[in-house]
Amino acid sequence: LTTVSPHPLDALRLADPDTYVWVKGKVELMVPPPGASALRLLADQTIWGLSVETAMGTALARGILDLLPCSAMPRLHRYVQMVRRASDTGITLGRIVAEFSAAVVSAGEPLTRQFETTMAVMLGKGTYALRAPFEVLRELLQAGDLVSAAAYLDLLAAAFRKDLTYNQSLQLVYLLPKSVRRLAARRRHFQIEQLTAVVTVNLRLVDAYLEGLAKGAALLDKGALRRFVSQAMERFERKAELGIKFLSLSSKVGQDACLALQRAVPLVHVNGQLSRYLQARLGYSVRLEPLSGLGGLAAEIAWVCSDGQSIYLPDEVERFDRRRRNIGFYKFLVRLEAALFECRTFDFDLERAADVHPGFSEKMPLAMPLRRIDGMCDGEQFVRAFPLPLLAGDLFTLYEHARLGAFLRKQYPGLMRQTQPLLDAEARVCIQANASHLLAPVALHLLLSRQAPFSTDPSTADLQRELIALFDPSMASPLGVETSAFRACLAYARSSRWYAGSQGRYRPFRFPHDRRLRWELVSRAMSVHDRSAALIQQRLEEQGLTVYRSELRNRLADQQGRLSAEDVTALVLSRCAAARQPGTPVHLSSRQLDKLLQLSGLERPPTAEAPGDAYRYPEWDNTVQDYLFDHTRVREAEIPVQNGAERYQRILQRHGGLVSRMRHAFALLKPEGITMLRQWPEGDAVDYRALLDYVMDRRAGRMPSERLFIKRLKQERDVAVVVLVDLSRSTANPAAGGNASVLDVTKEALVLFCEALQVVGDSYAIAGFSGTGRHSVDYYHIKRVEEPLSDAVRSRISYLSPQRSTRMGAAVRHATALLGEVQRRVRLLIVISDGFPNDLGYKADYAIADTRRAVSEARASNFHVKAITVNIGSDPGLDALYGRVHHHVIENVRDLPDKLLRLYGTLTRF
Amino acid sequence: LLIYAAQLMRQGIDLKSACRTAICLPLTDDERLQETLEDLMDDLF
Repeated sequence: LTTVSPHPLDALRLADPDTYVWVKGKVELMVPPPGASALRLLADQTIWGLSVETAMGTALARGILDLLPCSAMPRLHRYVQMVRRASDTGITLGRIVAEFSAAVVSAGEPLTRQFETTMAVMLGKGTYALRAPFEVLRELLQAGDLVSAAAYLDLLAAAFRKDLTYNQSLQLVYLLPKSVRRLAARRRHFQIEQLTAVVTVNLRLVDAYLEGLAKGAALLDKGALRRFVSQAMERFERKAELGIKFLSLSSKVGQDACLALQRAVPLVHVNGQLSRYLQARLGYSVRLEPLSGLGGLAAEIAWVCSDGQSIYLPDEVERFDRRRRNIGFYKFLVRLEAALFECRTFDFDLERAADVHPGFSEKMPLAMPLRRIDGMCDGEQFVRAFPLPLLAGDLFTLYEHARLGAFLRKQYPGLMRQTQPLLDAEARVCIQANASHLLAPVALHLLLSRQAPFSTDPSTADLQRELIALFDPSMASPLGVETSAFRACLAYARSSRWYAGSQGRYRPFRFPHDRRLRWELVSRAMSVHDRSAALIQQRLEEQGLTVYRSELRNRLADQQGRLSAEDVTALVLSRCAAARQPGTPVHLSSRQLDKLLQLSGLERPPTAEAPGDAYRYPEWDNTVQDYLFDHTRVREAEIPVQNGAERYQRILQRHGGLVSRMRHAFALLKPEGITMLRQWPEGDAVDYRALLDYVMDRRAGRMPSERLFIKRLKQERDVAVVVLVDLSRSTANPAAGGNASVLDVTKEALVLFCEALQVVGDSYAIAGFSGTGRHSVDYYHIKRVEEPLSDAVRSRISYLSPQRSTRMGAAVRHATALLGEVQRRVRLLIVISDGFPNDLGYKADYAIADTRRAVSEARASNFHVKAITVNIGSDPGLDALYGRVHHHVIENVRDLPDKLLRLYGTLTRF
Repeated sequence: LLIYAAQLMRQGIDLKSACRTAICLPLTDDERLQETLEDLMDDLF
């Protein structure tokens, strides 16, 4: 007889088959499988938990399962003991401990003891205080940030040890975890420590501290933040208000103190300055993007890289102990990286390489002409064609950087002189990092002009000298990136033989500041135009015309995907010149070109346009700090005139009282005709009051005023106004406190506005705007300036309806252009909107920056621009959009009619 | 402006000061653009 010993989880199967299936599934995935005693503990405790409460059993099982892979039995027992003890107090507490303490126990002592102490303090306020704070604790532990977790437990203990009312306690329960979750991982632990210090002194300082962090104190390092907080405390002790303003960076003293202590520089602070520099040096804009935008790739890049369209820089630099030096480091990186754009590295073209260097094809391990791989730029294809792509890539980077170095030394001697100390320091790092690397002495010689010792092995040393000799600096500047590729080919043949002979595995070379050519990024950035260029190139070749794909791609990118017959001619001739062939005459009619472009899928066949004129306007791109020319297309559209204007009349009737009051108020705005200016130095009548003063002054022996005349001026109102109404989809939302939509209330305001302006006699226009995407911004004329308030206008106002999105910048530019043609002393643009601009590719900061720029342009053309935002609460972002004193927020849209008229009256009163 | 800068150089003013005085300062009074021009000059000399 043989006895089969029961499986440790069998008891659980009997107790709860569903939980058993789930637990068994998890256990089977564990490598190595857990021991029998651990499984028995899991089964027993889960059964006990289920007997107390289903949720408790599940939480306990999950906790033990989390601990199983990495914890020994004593930790499992510790966890179970904590849960059991908590359950004795209450089931809710037991469940919370079961859920959250596994992560703590897995971190070991002394954190577990600290957790227990903190929990005891928090329990003084009630079980409600535990869950939200412990969720963040678990997140910190799961991220492996034990230091921050310990600091966070200290913070919780310090906060909840205080004498708090229920409301204060409840506020902290949500505020503290939320704030800690927002802190950046790198500086989180000491920011939490300082938050603890602040909490200990006074709870009033918590909000101020968090506000200060958001405004810039988050950039301070550990010591600096401690000094800043202690300065704030001193002020707080002297006078509470002073300390709070200092800590929240609301006072100038606080801001200055923070800036003086600041060492780290975020990219956003220097983006504008660096973009201007690039624009000035290159003559065109290059985007500056944070490295974090590259996602997972960012981990591989130490400082900087480029993809032919953007330069990626660290999100912040804290390399040196002075802020100024860190800004200088940003400049240093950008100055070096700009050379890649200046020397056209990213225009590398395999066909041009074959034309320029006749031996190129033979040196490459792939056949020419190439069969291009879709979505891969020529640089990437070149590197991947070699059996050792890492070596090929390093050699290509090496010779290309050597070429750029020679260029910089010749063109920008000042730049090279200034960057020398940083390069020297980097040379030391490179020597250490690349010890015994074949390319080390070659790179130091070519890139940093340093003599490094050659290898002790004579054949290796000979090879290293040979690799240096391949680069002839006198040939550097006139030749392009293709020459670097050719040199890389020659060097590869020699180096790969050496690697094959030495049986060594190639270790990637660590370049100065880790600046290497990353062709995979270039492929990604240029894929759209590269694909189009490849298709067009193929079609042209079928017609016997050869062009370089890189030149074609650049032409398409520069002209936003457009190509003319002249462009094709220029590209064909350019290739002939590069290949030293006689120029072939190009016979390509525009019809042939159109057909060719259509076949390449580049241009859509012309579609029937809706009636109405279209206008192109630039758009401000805040990421490159430059205008994108002809980027938006505004189409003037008409609102169909429907029968009658009953709705207009109904609105008039409903607001009869307000209308008559406003008519009266606006009648007062109308000038009476003549204005008398008294005490004038010259005029058409004597001012007798002034004359009387004159005589009195003379009698008294004082110097009399000679302003003795009255001047009569004929006064006329000279005002033109355009009201621009946002017709986005969101205006269909109901207005606060009623069933009517935002647009309905806006219509009411427009009706009253028209009626009031009829009285005062100013020229005015009303327009709506909406649209989808940059090519389709619709501008609806509701009333043109010269148009009388006819039934057609009334009908258009009545039948306004919500449309699509809000590309506000383009609409403001078009309204400014139209009103610019009207010659008036006062020109006013009133924008009525229900929020922030939003459209396809037109969101958040980009949309705000463009709209702000459009508003500034209008102001520069002598327009008064005022905005009324309805149906949202006050938002500091609106200050950024329109300027602090130039907008009004009306939370209750029902106030709009009244406010619009008041605003207009105030703005145009003489 | 270039001629003025050259004249200053001939009178013994150093290259950077001559360019700053004769080219950069007359071109703009915007501090940010001045800084950009200064950076470009630093590259050249």
